[in-house]
Amino acid sequence: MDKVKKRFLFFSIVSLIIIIFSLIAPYLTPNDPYETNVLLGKLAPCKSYPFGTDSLGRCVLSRVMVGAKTSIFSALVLVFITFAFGTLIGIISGYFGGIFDSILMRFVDILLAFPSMVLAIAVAGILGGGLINAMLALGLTAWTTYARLARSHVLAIKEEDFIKAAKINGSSKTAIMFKHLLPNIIGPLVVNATVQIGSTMMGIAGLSFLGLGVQVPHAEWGSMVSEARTCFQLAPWTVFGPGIAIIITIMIFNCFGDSVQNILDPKHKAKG
Amino acid sequence: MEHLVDVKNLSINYGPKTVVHDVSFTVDEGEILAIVGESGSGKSTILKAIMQMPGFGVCASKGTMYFEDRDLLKMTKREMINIRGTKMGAIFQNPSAALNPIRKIGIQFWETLNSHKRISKKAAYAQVLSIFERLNLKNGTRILNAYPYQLSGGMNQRVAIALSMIMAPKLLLADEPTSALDVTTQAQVVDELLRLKNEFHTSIILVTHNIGVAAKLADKTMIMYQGKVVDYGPSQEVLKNPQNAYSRMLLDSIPQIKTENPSAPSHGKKLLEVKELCKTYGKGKHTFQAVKYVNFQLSEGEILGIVGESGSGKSTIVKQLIRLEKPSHGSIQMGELELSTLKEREFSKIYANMQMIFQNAVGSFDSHMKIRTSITEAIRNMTQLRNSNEINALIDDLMVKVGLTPEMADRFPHELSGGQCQRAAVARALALKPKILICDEATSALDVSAQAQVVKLLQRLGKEMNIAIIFICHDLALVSEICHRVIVMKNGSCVEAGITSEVISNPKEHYTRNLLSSILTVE
Repeated sequence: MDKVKKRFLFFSIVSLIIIIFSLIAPYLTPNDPYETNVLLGKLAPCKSYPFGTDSLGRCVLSRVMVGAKTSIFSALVLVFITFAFGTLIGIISGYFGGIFDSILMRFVDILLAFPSMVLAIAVAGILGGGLINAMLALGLTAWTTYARLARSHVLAIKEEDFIKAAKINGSSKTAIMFKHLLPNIIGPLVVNATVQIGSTMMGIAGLSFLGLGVQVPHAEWGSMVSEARTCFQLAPWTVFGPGIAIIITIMIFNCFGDSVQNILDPKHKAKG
Repeated sequence: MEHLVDVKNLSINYGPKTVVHDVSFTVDEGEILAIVGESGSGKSTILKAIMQMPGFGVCASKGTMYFEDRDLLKMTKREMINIRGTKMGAIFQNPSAALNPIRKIGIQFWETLNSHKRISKKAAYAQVLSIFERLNLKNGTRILNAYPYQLSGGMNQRVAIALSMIMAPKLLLADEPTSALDVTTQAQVVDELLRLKNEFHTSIILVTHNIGVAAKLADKTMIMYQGKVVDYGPSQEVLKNPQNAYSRMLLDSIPQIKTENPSAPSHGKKLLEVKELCKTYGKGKHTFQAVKYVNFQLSEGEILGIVGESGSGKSTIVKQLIRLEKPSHGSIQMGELELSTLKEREFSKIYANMQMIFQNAVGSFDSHMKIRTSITEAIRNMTQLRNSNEINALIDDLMVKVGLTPEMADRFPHELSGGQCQRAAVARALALKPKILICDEATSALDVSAQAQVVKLLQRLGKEMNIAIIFICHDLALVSEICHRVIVMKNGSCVEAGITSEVISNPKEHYTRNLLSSILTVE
């Protein structure tokens, strides 16, 4: 097994462990993540509170563990939905072409013209806070990259002989799109999706940090950093706990995305 | 110095795999050696080994390779760069790869000269023009001021040859220099290479799969098969009197011009009538007429050939027949049905009667699907057959019919050779029991031996199943062997049509005569 495959195996296992951990973590918390105790506020890390406590006396470690599920799963769900929707639009647009394609792509251009985070803040602000609204706000622009990518790959292969052969063999347009085009372009799209997991988590955490995502007292890493910001100088561990969790998780998912990209690289395939 | 190039017992590896075994040959000054063989026989690998370019990944594992009495394998990198620059030239299949597409040709010549010794542009141009003159390239100044895209493929190849000759190399390495060209341009480039030998006394090592080219040019010929030399000697002997069974088979596979053709089947039912078919691309001022008022008929069991250079519109005709392109004008009548105005949805029924196989056989199968899956899809789409056991039995039957084993259907397209894949494509087309089979350059990408097999298969099936075949090809010799009638195309128009034997033995049009005289045969 070569280096690329080893890296891929390592990061897929680590990512899987993180996902499984986020699912079972709520049952493993050392303390109740929502129990406030003003007397124990801003406690430095100790034996019973390994990451210390925040200004309301809640256990930071427990809250980080509970928040993992929200942060990771909201990102995964959002990436999956935008991936599926964007790919569908891209394939249809690329395959049929013509006026439909032009209109759709100008719409994509408009969405891409806005800085995505600024647009998300505006949309989330209009819709009001909440996790679902934050995901909607981020999803509004996120699907465009998949649509663009899928369209360009469809344009590249739709003139190939096997597509013509499929047409001559009586395949319907739907069959050509989903049985012949999709499997041939899915590689780069999956790579894009895995790379997007990290930045989507960042986006959700960012919106929560601004108070536009997950609402207090619900635990989520971004909103935890935001809450803890006020007492950063007195109790820096309240920021470090969720902050480090964000950094590590995003790094692992990004590395996973990189390794998927490497393993699907045709040059690597040719060698293997 | 006995020989210019003296290779002894050379073995060449790609990584741990040995691809060329124990090859020995010599080339004298002013001599042309042709290396012929099927693709994958290791003929290009030998050229790469001689050039010793870093990055090719070839490495000579055994033997010696002397050039002007010095072993190329023992030279330092710097010495090798020097030799490549001044004493060796190379030309490749795709001439535009050798020329920078965004710079004028004159500048590129000057750059090459200037990198060896300082020279003014004027002096360089004068030198280049004199080379052009000796190579019989007319309008030298116009060429120098042109960009590569403004010249035709054949012209570009001749310019690339001139560029490689500018340092007056002793040895020219030519890798399939004519394979991407039409027969008429091929003839020009072949003449040009002969002129090199006569005018400049240059030695040439020519790699080609076209034995006709080898026969016309080469003093010595080497036939390779699976990395080994099977025949080597003076061209006359090797090509006239092949010693080896493989060489004989290879030479027998070459299509020959025949004036006596298989007689057309007794007048069958008329299947297809095409009238005034036109195809125009573009709108307004920028239109291009790819096909101009073409008429023809097709009867049951007949093989109709369409020949012409690339860009003559022969593919566009059949694409319109099968609605990969919409006809701009004219009528296509199949029995009672008028195909040119049929709606796309209704047209899918026609595909059961009319099927097509493509030039790139491997590319005509979805690379993610096994052959069996692709054929099953076609059967399920177009026939009433639903039971998968019956379908599989039908596929096994078809695979045997086209000369493959049923087990091969369970492979992926890239796991078959080009010839095998093309037969699988024939099997897929036959699964629908069509009345008409369109072959768009279906054998052009294949080696001569594989081509001969596929052509025989098509002929046999046409007879057995009474299928009419439209056979598009740029090789007039091949067409003369198998087609009952032929259409000659030029610039979108049909210049000559008729019974093949009559067209071949008594061509009326200048263009047809030109095509015929460009064919290189072994005799």
